Amino acid sequence: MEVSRRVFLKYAGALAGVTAVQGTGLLSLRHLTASEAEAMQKAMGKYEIKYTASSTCASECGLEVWIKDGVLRKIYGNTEVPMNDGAICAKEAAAQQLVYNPYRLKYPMIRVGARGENKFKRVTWSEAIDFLARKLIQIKKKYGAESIIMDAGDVTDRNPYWRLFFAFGTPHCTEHGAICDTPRRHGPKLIFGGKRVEPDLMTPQLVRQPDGSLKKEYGYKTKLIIYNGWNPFVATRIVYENRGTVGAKIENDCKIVVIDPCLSNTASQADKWLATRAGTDGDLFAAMLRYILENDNPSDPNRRYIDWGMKKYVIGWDDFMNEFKSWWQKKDPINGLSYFSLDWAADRTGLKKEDIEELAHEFGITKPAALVWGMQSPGHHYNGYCCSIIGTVLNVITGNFDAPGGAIDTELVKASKGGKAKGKQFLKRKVKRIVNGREVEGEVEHLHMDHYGGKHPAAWDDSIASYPDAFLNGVELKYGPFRGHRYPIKCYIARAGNALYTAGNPKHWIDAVTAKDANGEYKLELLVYIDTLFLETGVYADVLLPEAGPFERKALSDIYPSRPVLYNRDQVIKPLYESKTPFDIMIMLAKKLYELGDRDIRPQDFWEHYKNDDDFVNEMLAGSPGRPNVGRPLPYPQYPEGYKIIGNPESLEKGDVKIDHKKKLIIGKPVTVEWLRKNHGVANWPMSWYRYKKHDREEPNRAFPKTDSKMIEFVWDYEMGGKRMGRYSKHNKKIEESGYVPEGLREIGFKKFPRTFYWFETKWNPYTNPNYRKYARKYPFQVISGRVHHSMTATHMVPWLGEVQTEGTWRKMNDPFTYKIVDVNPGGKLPMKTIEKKFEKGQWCIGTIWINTDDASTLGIRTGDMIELENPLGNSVRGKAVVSEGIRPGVIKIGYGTGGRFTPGAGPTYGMRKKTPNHNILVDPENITPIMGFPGYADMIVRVKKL
Amino acid sequence: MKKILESPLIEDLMEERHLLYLLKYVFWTEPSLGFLESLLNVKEIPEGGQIDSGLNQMIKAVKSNTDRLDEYAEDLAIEFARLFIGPKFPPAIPYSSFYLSESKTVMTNVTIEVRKRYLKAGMAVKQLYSIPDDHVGIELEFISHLTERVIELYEIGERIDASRFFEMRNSFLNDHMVLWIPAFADKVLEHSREDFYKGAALALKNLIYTAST
Repeated sequence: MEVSRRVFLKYAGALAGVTAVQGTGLLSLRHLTASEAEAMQKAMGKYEIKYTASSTCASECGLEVWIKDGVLRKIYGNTEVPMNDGAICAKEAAAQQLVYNPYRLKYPMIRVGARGENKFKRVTWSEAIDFLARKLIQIKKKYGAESIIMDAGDVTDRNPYWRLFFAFGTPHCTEHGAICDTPRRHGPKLIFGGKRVEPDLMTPQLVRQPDGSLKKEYGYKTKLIIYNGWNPFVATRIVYENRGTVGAKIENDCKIVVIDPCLSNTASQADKWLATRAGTDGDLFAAMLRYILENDNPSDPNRRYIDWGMKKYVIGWDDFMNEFKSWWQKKDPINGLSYFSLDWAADRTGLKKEDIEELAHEFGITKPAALVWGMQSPGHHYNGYCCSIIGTVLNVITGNFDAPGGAIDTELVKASKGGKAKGKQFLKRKVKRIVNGREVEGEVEHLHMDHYGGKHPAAWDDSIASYPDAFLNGVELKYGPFRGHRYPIKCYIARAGNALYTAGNPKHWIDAVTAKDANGEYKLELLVYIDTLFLETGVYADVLLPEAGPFERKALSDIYPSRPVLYNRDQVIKPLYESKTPFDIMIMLAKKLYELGDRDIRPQDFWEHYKNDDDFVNEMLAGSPGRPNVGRPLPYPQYPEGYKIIGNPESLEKGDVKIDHKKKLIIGKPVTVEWLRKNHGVANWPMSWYRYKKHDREEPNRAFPKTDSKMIEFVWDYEMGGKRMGRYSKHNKKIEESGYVPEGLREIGFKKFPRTFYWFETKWNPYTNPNYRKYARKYPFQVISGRVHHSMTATHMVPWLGEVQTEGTWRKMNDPFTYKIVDVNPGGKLPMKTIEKKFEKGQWCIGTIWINTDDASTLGIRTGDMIELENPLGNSVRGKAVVSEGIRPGVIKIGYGTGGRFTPGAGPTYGMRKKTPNHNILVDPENITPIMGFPGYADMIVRVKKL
Repeated sequence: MKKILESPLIEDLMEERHLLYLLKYVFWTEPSLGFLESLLNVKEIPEGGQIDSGLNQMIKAVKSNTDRLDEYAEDLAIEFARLFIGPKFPPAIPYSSFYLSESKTVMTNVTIEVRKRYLKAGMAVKQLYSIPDDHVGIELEFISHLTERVIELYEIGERIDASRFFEMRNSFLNDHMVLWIPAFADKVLEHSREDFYKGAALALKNLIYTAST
């Protein structure tokens, strides 16, 4: 013994009692058996290659990842996934920083302070699930399961949560789509049963050749793309559209026109930029349609705008056109001009009449072409519905719908996924309620606050914007068997999505979730937050559940494909810390609810039905691709046309199928998780075009699109074969039966949902809506927002992405600060290193306020000045000005989600919160769009003050 | 300086393990009521260095909350979450990779090296691939387990094996733990609002210094 260590010679006596209490057993380690140790020894240091998809980013790029020692080591693009075609960007390259960031949510936690106080303690999963299940049962018993909302955040991971809560008895399971762009999708939904129209740019295509073989085809056919309020280079998740736009331009001389108040990155690369006044997208489209209708001449090759052959595939053509034309006789009170004329549109949009005429002419004459409209505009305007309806009609009548190189509704052609796994069948369960003293029986779905409520019965994607009001005032059903039933909303489960920051005005949301009743209790009794990161909504939650992060959970991906493609978003590493997958959370909570006596939850629907999460995903895949064998070339010429295709591409190709002529099904071997794992992670089915036509003659095939008539519908409430049909018909029936006009429709002076074309003005726009003209002088700026994809929530955790500036809304205009950042580490043991770095002024991107040079000059504002925007509602935000000519005078733009972050989870952006604007603070919480109850994010005016 | 395994040192280890038991528990999980009650019975330790100061600070903190021990356990649970877990950025990240890897992330090569050390001793983390292997509580458990093994083997006369485990223990302390535990403990000392954790951090830091010499 060479070193005296006698310092320890008093602890046994002192601490023996403590040791006796806590024990000496192993808490965190275990002994391995010899064979376990040997197996582990052998496995260490070896790479495994796995296929998955990104969930650090909404683009969900297909990935090939290399795993060593259970750790994600290398990330490449999956070459077989056509969305990204083997490429990844800086965001995905930064995924390791997100996954292995030490600041994730790690354990379940329960709030111990007031909501918003940010005080939590760790609990075990067992405690958290027990607490949650007891509270859910208590709420269900006291108020009914309909008092519970499960907001599953995104589509990809929603299914386990939806299944559980549908089974528990609530009809309120929703996801991000409800706050994304419902007005934008409305036209395609009415007319095709679809959602989102994109240009035919996804390459490689997999195309059936005349000799029967399949070939990957590259190259582009599109000759003209018009992007209206759509900025694929910066704001969208459709990766093939980024490269495809450039590819079509360079390889196929495709002309690109961008209509946007701002010189977006996409506009900067376009052949033409038309800087419209904000919120006039529908005006421009209406003028294009009128021009095309008035000037079409089939016998003049230079005026052959309309593909009259289309009429064969459309029902309600005349009804639509007659209603549209009836407006030409009316004078717009805002300018005294005939609706939809070029002069009218020029006055409202602020564009030159000649430019509008040229645009309409070019779109009419250039084929193939695609007219595409965006999420933020018109998707975020009160009247965006009108625009998306006209845009859809324009693509149809010009013959561009589903044409090679034309406009494809991706919702119609993507592979079906989800099936029974998502649990919608539980909505059909019978339930009873006492309504006005009488017991009434109906189905769970009849309790839906939107579909049977008095505000937005056609909110088929749900109205998350209405939730704060429901938290405060409850719900009264106006339609269906439970008409007159009143109930409160007592539980909101926010899984990802971060609604308190994103789903409208955050102040309004915070007021609603912190409001108390006369007894001093929160009106919303339970707020649960499920996520990987700790974001604003979590700050106000009662329970935090850590969800398995990117690469740690399992689902399927397909981002707006032009044909059926599905790729495995496989779990490739174990969930870190004690985070759990959505599947595990579903099973744990289901078991506990059952154990506590809830009999709506049945073992055979959950833990007896699924051995593991592969089973769950396999059930999601059971009906895939679930699309009809239609189009040109016919995807599977060996099988009957129009029959629904089910099965993996391999079995369909080999002929290993059964054909059910009665049900018109072609059933191959199912796509399964295992099949995907063995096939580069992807199922690629063949491409075809003109999927509404017979493959060999000019006739509708009556198998596509997804409307009641299986035709393209320009009418939405009609009779055919003695049946009432059309997308609005069932909602109108409800209105007729009850005599109650929904509040949304009343706002715009409608008594029912219109049978065909309709028009109404947006809110807070003094240039198109006479009700707001009085504000024009005092609040001379329209304020709009747009996404900066690499600045969005999760990516705030990766500092290097904060150094890539974008347009006028995300600029290197920081005040000096010091922060630990991950930096490249050439020559180091690891590719990255974290350093404490001082960011001098102008080195780091922050959310900024983009303003036109002339406007700024008038107000004495220079780039970098702090300015304040105040709206007529008295709400204001502050930020630094970016002065440029790349934005239309009278318009101000703020990046969506770039500023005013009030959670430390937002990284260095949190530190700049007082000098960066949160656009949503300016949103009018009362501006909820009338048809589907969507937040009117983009309708606002402000005045500007230099600070 | 090489240590030689002989009787006085074994006696030391027998004492030291009680400190290790205590600290692995304190840094692995929130203190239970029973654990706090057991600390109430600990008499003040004669001051002989920083370890004693730290322990006394802990014991004093618990004793000053004798009449509200339930609430105190809750206070400590909240503080434990705030310091080591989150949900806001925890100021004292309890993983060695955060201190020893250039990336300051978790599950780095540093973590894998720690995993290899456990494997060499025939052990693995219970939640392998999920909980990073290099959590301070797990490393302390590893050391306490090796200490146990040394004592057991020594007592049954397996001196060679005892020496092997002793070497394993010493090298883990000297090549790894001492490189980051003091920095971690300093974070706790700087940021903790509870004397209980400040005392534990002081004791931990000095235990590692002492044990690794």
